[in-house]
Amino acid sequence: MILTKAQLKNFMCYYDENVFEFSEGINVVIGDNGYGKSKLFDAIYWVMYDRCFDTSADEFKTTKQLNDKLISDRAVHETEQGNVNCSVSLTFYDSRKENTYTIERSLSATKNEDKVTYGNTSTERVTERKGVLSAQIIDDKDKVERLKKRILPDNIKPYMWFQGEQIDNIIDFKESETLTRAINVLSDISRFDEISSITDSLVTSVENELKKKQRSLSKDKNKSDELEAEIKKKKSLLNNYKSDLQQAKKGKKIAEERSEELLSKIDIAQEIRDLDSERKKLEKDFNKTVLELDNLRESLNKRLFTRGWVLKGVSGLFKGFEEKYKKYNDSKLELKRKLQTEKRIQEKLQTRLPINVPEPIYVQKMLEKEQCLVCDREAEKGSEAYKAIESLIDDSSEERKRLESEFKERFDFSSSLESLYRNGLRQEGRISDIDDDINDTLKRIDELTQTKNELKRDLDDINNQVKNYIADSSINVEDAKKIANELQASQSMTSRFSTDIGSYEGRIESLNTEIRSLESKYGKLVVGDLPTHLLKKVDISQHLNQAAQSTRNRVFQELIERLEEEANKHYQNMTQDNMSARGIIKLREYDGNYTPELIDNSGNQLSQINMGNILLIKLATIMAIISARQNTRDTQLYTLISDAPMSVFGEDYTIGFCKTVSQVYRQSIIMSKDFYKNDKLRNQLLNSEEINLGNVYMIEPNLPEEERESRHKLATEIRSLN
Amino acid sequence: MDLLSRIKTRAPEYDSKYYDFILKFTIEQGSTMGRTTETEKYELGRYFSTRYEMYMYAVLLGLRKDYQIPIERGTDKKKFIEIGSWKPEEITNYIIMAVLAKGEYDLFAMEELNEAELEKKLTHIKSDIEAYANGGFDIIYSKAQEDENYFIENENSFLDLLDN
Repeated sequence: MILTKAQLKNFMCYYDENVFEFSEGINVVIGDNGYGKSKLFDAIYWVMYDRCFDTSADEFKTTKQLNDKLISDRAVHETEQGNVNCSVSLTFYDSRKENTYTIERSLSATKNEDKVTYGNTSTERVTERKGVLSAQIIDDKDKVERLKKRILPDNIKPYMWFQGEQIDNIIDFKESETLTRAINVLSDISRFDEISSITDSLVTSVENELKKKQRSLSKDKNKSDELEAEIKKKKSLLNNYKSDLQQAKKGKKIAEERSEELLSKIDIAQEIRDLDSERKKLEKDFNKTVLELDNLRESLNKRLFTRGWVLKGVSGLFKGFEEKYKKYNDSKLELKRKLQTEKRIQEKLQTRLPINVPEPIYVQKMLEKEQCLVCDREAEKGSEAYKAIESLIDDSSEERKRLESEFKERFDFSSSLESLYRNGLRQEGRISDIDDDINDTLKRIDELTQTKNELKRDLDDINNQVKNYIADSSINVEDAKKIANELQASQSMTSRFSTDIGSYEGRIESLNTEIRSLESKYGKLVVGDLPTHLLKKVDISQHLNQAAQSTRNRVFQELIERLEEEANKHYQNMTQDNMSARGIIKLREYDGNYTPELIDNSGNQLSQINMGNILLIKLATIMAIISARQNTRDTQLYTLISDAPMSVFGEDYTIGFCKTVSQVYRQSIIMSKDFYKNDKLRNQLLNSEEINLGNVYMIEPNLPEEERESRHKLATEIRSLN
Repeated sequence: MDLLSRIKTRAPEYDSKYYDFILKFTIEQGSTMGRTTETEKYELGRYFSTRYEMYMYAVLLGLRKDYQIPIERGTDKKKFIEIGSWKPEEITNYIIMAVLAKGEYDLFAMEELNEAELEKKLTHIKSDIEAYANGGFDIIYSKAQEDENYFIENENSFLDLLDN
């Protein structure tokens, strides 16, 4: 049956009615991370099995556990009061019977003002339409279950409908059970396991029968019982050691593989560590430059005043003041000079007194005494002689008085003006340097800006290099730092396990020897002959057991080879457009586990397989499990539905993968983000003649990223591309 | 008190129509924003730490261009702090020197004035400073009107204005 239509209503991010129609061939649903691809897968799975895979918990969850996450937030938000329904219906077409089946699952919630109560149980409705007749509801639950098994049988379900995150669980080459499960799907090997188990029981039973007989013939039954108990104890211990040995071998294998993986990464890890160290240094330089640049730019306006830039171009102003100040000084000097001239005149007048004429103080005394002490004559007050003496003291001329008075009554601005002059002179010296200072600062800003840009470019380069290394090697910076230590720990564990293995093997050998010795002693206690038929029974049962086991192993090995061959067909097909060496898949067995290797035509192992190769091998294996099933037409009957992480194995293989899938499966539905941004790849998909293309859709949320936090407005837009 | 000190006791005023305009480019003195860091100030697009700095800038712009617009009688005015508090002192003194140089001041004759006459002269000096500042603000304001992004997009705008 093929899936022809999926209708989603108010399911998760699919608000209101949304329809996808599918045809034969590879149908592709394209969308970026978080756009709803996985939700589409969840919708399909939920309809069929009433559960969805929770990637964060790595398990399936029921409707009850998921209820509020299933119904569109927007639908709930827009309902003021009453029921909110979500439903998904899938329509399948059975071309052989020309019947159409529709399976619909729905869930509702009730909103009362702001309180929302989500239902815990979903409702299923299945209809069948035969040809052009009306659809009839299928009430019979058993019939519905049979229908679902016809749509997709349980044993192949994990290999036909899976999400990318589940691939490691489906095929884990380190876990023998996953490969055994896969082999059982390929061909029912359980019958051989049953036969092997039966012959084991037969051997045990026959040996017990022999023991019983030996005891009955024993000459010392107590001793026989003792020996038997001892043998039993040792065999139990032997089983424990064998189990421990198995664990130790497994542990050693894991540690060795880990060491190999780490060894292959150690060079890259060193490279990443070195790059990281260089990056840190660049970041430091960058931050330092940015800080200096920001400080400089921020202080630019401050420098208007701190460096006097605000005086740029004003030197003419000082000249004007200088002239005024000179004029002022000249005037001041002129005044002083005049004053001093008058003083000197007075002083000259005074020189008409003889040399030994007393000083004015004596002249004053003469006036007091009213007597001339020079010529010793009386000089009565008011007399001519008195007036003559008086004229000697009175040395202030009118002019001088006027000048002095003028000088004394003036304000004196000289100190202020001198201060202004000196300041102006100092600023003049600075002003001539301002332009250079500004230019130097702007030049420094340019230099720092250039340095900053260069450092940014270098940082971006290094970040890209680190990013590329990390993407190629899946080692992040933290891992890179730890790799050397981890390698040492791994190697140390390998060594420890080797020691343990040696020890267990030694003990097993000793125990075997002891058991043989005890059995020999046990045998020697037997008196008389053991029945021939019993001995023959033991021999035959042991041979039968060996034959059953070797047959089982041979059949298993043949199935592994068949799986390998089929997986290689798919792998070669997927990788044929890639020019670099692809290799051949070889599943090598180590102690019951299988490790995939890529070998060349001569059987030599190619260099370490990367994540992309491993994923391709796993996908090829998953496809092979179904396509290699003999006498079945599973790839024609059932639809592959998957959101395989194609970006892990790179653009070169993405188209190859789509081509192979479209050729192997009659119908497939693939969810992918790889075609979202890559126009070239998308065009290749849409136009390739080698791809049997079904319908291609692009899905996008209706809101820009920054608004998507609020899911009350979220809906998904679906656009058909072909 | 000497001449310089007496001039510095004056607190010039400006046309209050420029109040908001000035605030756009300065951090209000004494307010909480006055305690922001240089980075925050820079990011806020502020160019002057105080209003008197912008006033000094405006005076010098007016002096440079010889562009005075006396504040008309009756105009609503706002006061700055007294000149003596302006920093740096050397720029302040330079401004005073320039105003004395450009104005009709006979320095020698001024010494002969009596107290009342000198006070009048000092008031005249203050008015001269205000007129040059007014002219400077007019130049800045016109530039902002001519190109509304001039001061936003160009972090060297006030430096460049000194070149024009």
